[in-house]
Amino acid sequence: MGSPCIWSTKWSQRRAASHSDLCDLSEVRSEVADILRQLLMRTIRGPKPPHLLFELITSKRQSAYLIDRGDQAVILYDLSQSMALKRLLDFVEADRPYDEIAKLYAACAGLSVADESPALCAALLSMPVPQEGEYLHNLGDLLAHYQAFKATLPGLMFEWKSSLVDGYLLAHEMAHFLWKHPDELMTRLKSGAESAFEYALGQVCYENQPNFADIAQHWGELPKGPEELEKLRRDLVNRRRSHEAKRNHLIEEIACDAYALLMVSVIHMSVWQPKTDDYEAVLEGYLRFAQTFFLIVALSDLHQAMIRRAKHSVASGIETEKPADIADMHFRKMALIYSMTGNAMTCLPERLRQVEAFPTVLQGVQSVIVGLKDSFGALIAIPVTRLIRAQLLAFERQPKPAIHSEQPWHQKLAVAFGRDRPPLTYTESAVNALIGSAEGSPDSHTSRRGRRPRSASRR
Amino acid sequence: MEKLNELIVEAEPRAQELFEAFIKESAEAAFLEQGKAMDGTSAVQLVIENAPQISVALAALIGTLQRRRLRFSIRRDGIELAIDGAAGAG
Repeated sequence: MGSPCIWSTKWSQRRAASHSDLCDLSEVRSEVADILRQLLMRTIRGPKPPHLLFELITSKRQSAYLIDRGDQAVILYDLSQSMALKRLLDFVEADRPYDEIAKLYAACAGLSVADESPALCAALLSMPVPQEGEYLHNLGDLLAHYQAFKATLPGLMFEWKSSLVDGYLLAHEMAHFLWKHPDELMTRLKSGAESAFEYALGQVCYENQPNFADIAQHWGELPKGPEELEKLRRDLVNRRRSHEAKRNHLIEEIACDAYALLMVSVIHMSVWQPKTDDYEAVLEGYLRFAQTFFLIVALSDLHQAMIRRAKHSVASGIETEKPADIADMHFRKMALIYSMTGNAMTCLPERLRQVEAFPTVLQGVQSVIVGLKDSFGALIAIPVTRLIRAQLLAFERQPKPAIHSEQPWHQKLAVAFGRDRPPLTYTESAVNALIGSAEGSPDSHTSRRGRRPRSASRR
Repeated sequence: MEKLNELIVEAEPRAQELFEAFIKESAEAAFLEQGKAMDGTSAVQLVIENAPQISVALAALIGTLQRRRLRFSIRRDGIELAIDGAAGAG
């Protein structure tokens, strides 16, 4: 008989309560914690570590959290982060136009600054979105990106989005626990993360590349003057310095992402791996999984980036120099491509699984994932970032409206969480308290499912 | 939720050494907690259980945090205390 599974203590409950500022935890359905604990167990190789605890939280911060206390640790799993990411995936799956995605990101960013700036929170929760997004690319390139993105969507594993999103977040936090108590796998991932760090540094900080000007100008698509190029080069030098200064921290995050990537792929292996000896078909299946995982990480990256921008706006104004760590998550996203290549190698038969094959597989993974990344950037990340930045700037320059409600987000969160997602997580009364009753809410029409997507030409 | 009269000093990771020294030298029931968020941010917390009041040792620690310009906040049973010069951590 092993020791009984203890997931919660008075200490961990106190921490969960202090990190939950969005909703009373008693309003969360009890079976949700059971399901998530089962999923967490599937991201652990072996029995539950006796000193690992697990609690649910619902926070405006929208980020899972791991607290280490000596030999004990608690994963605080944030339902608001999980719900926001699943809803973002819903929008991408349904080929919704960028404006609904932008509204959702703005609402999430607003929620995160509700305490520091209730007025900005209120402004972001009701952000107007122009019909046409401010894209970076010309119409022809945009259509090419849209066609590529649309062609990729049917192959992605959207029907598994709940376990993919929750699995990613849970396994990442689990990996932080293992970082301090490493097993054989984590030791291996630590070493791989060092190589992934070097790879990402070369990808992100390309100022020393002989074709720097070509890359910076997207091979002629985005012409830049000599001064602009020099400013970009200086920015990249600074960014390299910042990444190198935080090398150990970033390597831990990269290893934790790699752990999550591996464990989530193992959990979903029966979904993506075809029953065949044809290694090319297996590799193709893995790339489908890898693209889905990358999309989740990209949505999560943008989620946290918009939150950071809102906080930056409140702290010092959006036009002041950005905090040095603002691009860390983008860096981690690039390192993921290297980790994916390591996993893709295992799809090859043993005779082909040689060190010399790595660069070729890396090139293959890179082309598939970077294609998705570029389309995601062109269609979603760039217009959303520009829109929210413009909103932040406009807010900073205007006289501040008076806020009459103590909680400007109260009953307005349908825009972030929707009406069809919460039943899995909150009780009906909590849902009504958060997002307002289903009848007569001014934003109810935008949050219902089934709204027809707009055509490609509107994007 | 059970009240424990728990006092928490939260600060940026650079305060870890100071917290460890406090735990080593203080007679109070104190723990170090390290937090890592999914968004890549991290913080350290000094947790003092059954703290009757702000002790001399704690007052000295607060003074050091302020002198070193480290961002920190203090909560007693979840309620933030106003301390001169304390910027909200995290």
